[in-house]
Formats: sequence, C-alpha cells, structure tokens
Amino acid sequence: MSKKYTILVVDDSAAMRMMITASLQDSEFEVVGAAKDGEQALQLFKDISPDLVLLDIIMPGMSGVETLGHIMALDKNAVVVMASSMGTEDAVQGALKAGAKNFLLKPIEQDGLLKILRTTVSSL
Amino acid sequence: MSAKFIGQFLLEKGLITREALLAATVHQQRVNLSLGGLAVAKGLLSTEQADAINLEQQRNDKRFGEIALEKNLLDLQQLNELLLVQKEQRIFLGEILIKQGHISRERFESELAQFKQDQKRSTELVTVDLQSLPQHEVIEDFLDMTLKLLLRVAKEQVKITSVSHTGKQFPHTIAQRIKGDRQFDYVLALPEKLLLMLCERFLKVKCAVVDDLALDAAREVVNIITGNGCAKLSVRGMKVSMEPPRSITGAAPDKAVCVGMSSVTADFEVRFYF
Repeated sequence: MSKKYTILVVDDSAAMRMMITASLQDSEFEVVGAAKDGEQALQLFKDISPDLVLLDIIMPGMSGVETLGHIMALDKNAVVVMASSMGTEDAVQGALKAGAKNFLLKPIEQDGLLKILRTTVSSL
Repeated sequence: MSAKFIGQFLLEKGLITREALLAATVHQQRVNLSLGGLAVAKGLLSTEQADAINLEQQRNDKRFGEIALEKNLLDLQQLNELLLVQKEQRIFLGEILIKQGHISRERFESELAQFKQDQKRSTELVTVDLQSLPQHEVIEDFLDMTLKLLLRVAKEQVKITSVSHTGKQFPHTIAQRIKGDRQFDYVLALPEKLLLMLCERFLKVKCAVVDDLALDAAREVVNIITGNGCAKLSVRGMKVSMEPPRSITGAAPDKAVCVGMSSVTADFEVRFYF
C-alpha cells in the first residue's frame, strides 16, 4: 500500500473542515486533526506532528500567517499549504515568503485540493 | 413587491397560477442545459472536468468556455458549436407557458413588452442611484461579484432592484470587514429560505433548519464573495485585507448603502457600511 500522508486541517469554518475532510477520503491523505483556530492548531501540531498542514489565512484571533510563523518556529521543515478566498498577489506572496510551500484558492474542490497537495508532497 | 422576473410579473398580475409557473420553471431547467452539461452530454468533457471548470469559475471572473479553452479541454471550434447548440435548444419560459396553454401568445407578447419597459426603467434608476454614491466603484465591484458568485456557487440568478440608505428587516445578517486602502463592512442580509438554499447548494447536503452548519456555510459564501471582491480592488491597485465573516444583529446604520436584490428564491439585501 502506498504511503499515507497525515494532514492537519486548520479553518475557523466547520463547513470548510467538513468539506475538506470529505474531499480527502479514500485518497493518500488522511486528516488526523482539525483545528478551528491558530492556538488549537499549534497544540495539535505539537501533539500529532502531521506530514502536512492545510491552513486557512483569514481566521479570528491568530491569523493564518501568524500561525504559520509559529509552526515554522516549532519545525522549520514543516510542510504548510495556505488557503484563502482572497487570491491577490500580496496574499499569495506573503504566505510563500512566510514559509508556506503552496497556496490554495477557495472555494476548495476535490480535484484542485488533491492536485495542490500532490504537487506539494512530490517536491519534498 | 414589483416583479423582477417575467414569471413573477405574470403571476402578480393573476395571468398564470403558481403551479403553472413552477411546472414551467422545472421544465425549463430540465431542457436548458448549461454549457458544461451540454459538453458532457456530447461526450466532449467528463462530468469531473465540467465540475472542475464550474468550481474554477467560482474563484475567478471568467466564463465556462474561456476556462475550458485555457485548460485545452475544448478547442475553439468545439466551443463555438456548443454555444450554437445551446442557443438553438434554449427554450424561454414564455414559450413553455404558451405551449402548455396557460396564456395566449398575443397576451404574453403584450405583457412581455410591458415587463421589458418596466425593467428598463428600473435598471436605469438603479444605475443612476449607484453611480451617484461616493464609493460607487467599490460598491459596483462587490455587487458584480455577488451576482456572479451567487450564480456560480448557488446557481441562483439575482437582479439588483433598489438602492437606498434604509435597510429592511431580515432574520440573518452576515458581515465581513474589509481593511486597508478602503475600509467598510460588506453585509449580506437574507431570509431563512435563501440561507438554507445557499447551505444546500454550497455543501451539497440537505439543510432543513438554520443550525450552526448552515450559518457557517453562508458565512463561507460571503467569504468567497468578499475574497473575489478584494481581488478586484487589488487589480485596481488598492491594498486591502479582510477579517473573518461574522453573524451580526441590529438595523443597518444611518449611512449604510442598502442594495435590494431579488432572486427566484427570495428578496434579500447587500449592504455596505462605510
């Protein structure tokens, strides 16, 4: 059986967490944790050390980019894909400069999600 | 309520029954295929490819055919043939109502002319009202994305019906703050029926009651609209960012711009709090 990549999904929207988890069912990516904010994400990241993190940018409290900074401080090799509905040049470049490996534009659909995640893990 | 769609216009004038309108609408939706549906029916695209293009449409300002060409899924000749077939096969609501004997052709044509005249006058008034607003460029960008994304995400055709500074009462109001070179709240105020419809079409699950998940899905739809709106502002050279969408209560503030919208499902409002 091919390798399963563990993934931590971070999004303040329960609807989005549900959609992402459903989209990754039966794929090589297994959602092992879901967090609704940055603080919960950091705790889960420490606890479960996922292979990848899918991290929403616009969240209440700690933003996605701030959360990314903390994750990179915990593990400089962390593989983080940022997600946002705002695909401006600034948003994408800001996320990549902060250490994200890739950027996913919302709304998220299964094919696009799998493509981005597969591209991300193939470049590791 | 003044009619925004021809079916509603005929219904309000008592020329057709609600049942006749519903049956004709269902028939029309079954016959009139989208470009993607047509491409799938003709074996030019797989369902997955058409779905992927539909979803990509939700993230940008492009037409189905434009994306299909960019992805090399269709060539120009195939696209033109599909557009021609779509045009030839398209059936209008009035034609169905006439064929089903709900209204005579002569009466329908006379009512249609009246309806078009009313619509033209209404559109002109709304356009003048919108363009007189100090922030009209920003408002028009966000209204444009609202119309496009509600059609793409929720398959809901929407028309702008009024512009005022007085908001109506709606049970559900979702706001999202835009910050930076332009600072305002984009607000979607909607009735329960429309909120449930948004939830069902966004999540593709049955939503019978307004619960946390339904509200969350509606907030995510707002998030997608504002994300696209901000991308438009960014193209205009403005630097903007967004806060997370939130549910709010209370009446619209005095200086709010309240834009009345009408869809087949229900009336609602888009507001701008500057």
